[in-house]
Amino acid sequence: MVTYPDPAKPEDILAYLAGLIRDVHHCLDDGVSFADTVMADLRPDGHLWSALVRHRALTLLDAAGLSPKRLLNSGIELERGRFTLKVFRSQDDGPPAPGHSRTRRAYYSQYRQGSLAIGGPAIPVDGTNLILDWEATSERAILLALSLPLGVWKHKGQPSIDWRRPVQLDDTGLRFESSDEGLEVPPRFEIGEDEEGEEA
Amino acid sequence: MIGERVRLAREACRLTQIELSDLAGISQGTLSDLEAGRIMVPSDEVVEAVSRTTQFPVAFFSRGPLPDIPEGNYRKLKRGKSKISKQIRAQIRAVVEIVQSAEEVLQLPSVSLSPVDDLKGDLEELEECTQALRQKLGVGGRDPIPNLTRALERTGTVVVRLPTEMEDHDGFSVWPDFGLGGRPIIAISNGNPGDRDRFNMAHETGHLVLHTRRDVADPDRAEREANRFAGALLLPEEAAREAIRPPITLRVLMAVKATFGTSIAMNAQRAKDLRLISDQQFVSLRRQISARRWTRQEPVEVTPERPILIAKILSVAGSDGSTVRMAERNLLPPMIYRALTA
Repeated sequence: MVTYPDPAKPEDILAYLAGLIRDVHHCLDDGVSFADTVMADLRPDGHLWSALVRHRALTLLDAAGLSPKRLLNSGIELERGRFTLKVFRSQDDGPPAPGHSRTRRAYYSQYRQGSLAIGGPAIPVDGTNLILDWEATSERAILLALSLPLGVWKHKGQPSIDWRRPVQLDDTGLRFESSDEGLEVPPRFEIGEDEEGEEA
Repeated sequence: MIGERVRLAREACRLTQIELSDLAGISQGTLSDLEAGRIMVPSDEVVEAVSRTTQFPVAFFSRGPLPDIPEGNYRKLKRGKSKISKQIRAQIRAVVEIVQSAEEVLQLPSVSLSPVDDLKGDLEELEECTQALRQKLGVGGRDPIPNLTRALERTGTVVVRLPTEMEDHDGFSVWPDFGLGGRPIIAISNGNPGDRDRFNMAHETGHLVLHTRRDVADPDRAEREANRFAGALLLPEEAAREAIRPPITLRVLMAVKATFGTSIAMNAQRAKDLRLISDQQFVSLRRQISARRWTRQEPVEVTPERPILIAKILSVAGSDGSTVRMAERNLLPPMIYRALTA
């Protein structure tokens, strides 16, 4: 029987999702570089920039076989076991407010995504709807934090979350190992047997 | 004869005549006369004072004429000071003397680097030059070079590391007695990441191949040629076009670094040279590199390579004893000996 970490223990959830979060980090990192490069030829536009990051990250997550759900506006949603992870850009150093979207409000309130939007019964999911919010610093480091939402809140309001934990990731895991090859450099004149000293 | 050696020892320690005379406790006039050859046989006290200050063993000053070496090529920043360039050249001159002595007792790899005597002036032609060299190095036309130091040493090139205090200087190359049995020497500074070492060595190889027989009046042009040569040698065009596919992001360049041992900055430049990205995209990538502070330290470790040939040459004088003792046997200051064998 599969056992999943307790949603009340954020460290356990972080450990459980570490591989997935690392993949998201790499894809967002690449997305930031992609967006910066594309935007080099265009006038500044924060919304377009964010959309490019999401689009690129989504493409890479898909290519990596992580089966992200395709949402409107290149929204990113991933599943691992019984947990669902929605990836949003941070707002005021925290997860963004859910806004008016019924789907998103349901998700924040720990209901199965879409169940309200399609008019069906609301199905509680016991704290398995998670939010991974991200931001790129001026040095282009990706800051990630995982949180467990408990309900909805207004823009600029106090987030209704059980917990939020920043994720520390900086190791790329990539490395070039140069080979350790030898080099023969023999003496110019070999000592002949007759020149070697004889044992007494 | 001894004056030439005193000058070399002084320059190898980056000292002015005034500084050396102060430190050694001898008059500047004596030192000046000695270096100019106006004093041919100095007193033992003067020689010992110079030896004590420069750390070159006394025996170094009693040998015959020093080998002549050409001016050589420096890889340095614009602000790189000329007295540091002189210091590097002086140290390499001392190394050349040791290498020449070792030729008599060791079968060093025969020299197989071939300098070109003509280039149509087209940077694209350098791609072909590097392909010919890659065949000589035995690394194929498009594969990563697993150990550039060793590949160069097999062509008879002596690769050495110099002490770390070579501010704003990354490399130096020289080919003494070209065409007369001399062998090329490449010096790189200590303490750089492996990818930078590899680029510096490839850059200096470019100078040796492109500028030993050809005169390029414009030094900036010569540097551009050596840079392009280095990029093409480490990351051949065919491999680059396959590995650097759009959309080209830093993460793509990082993956190339992990495969070819080339810096992210070099990979961006290579993508631009091969017109895989626009000028604006190149500027954007450079800005991203700078914003992430990768100009100081890039991600993706490239393990440093270790020169072996010079260590074998230095071991001719014996391999037992302390660093100080071994340095003395090789007629070198311990600091230089330590860097060469690090």
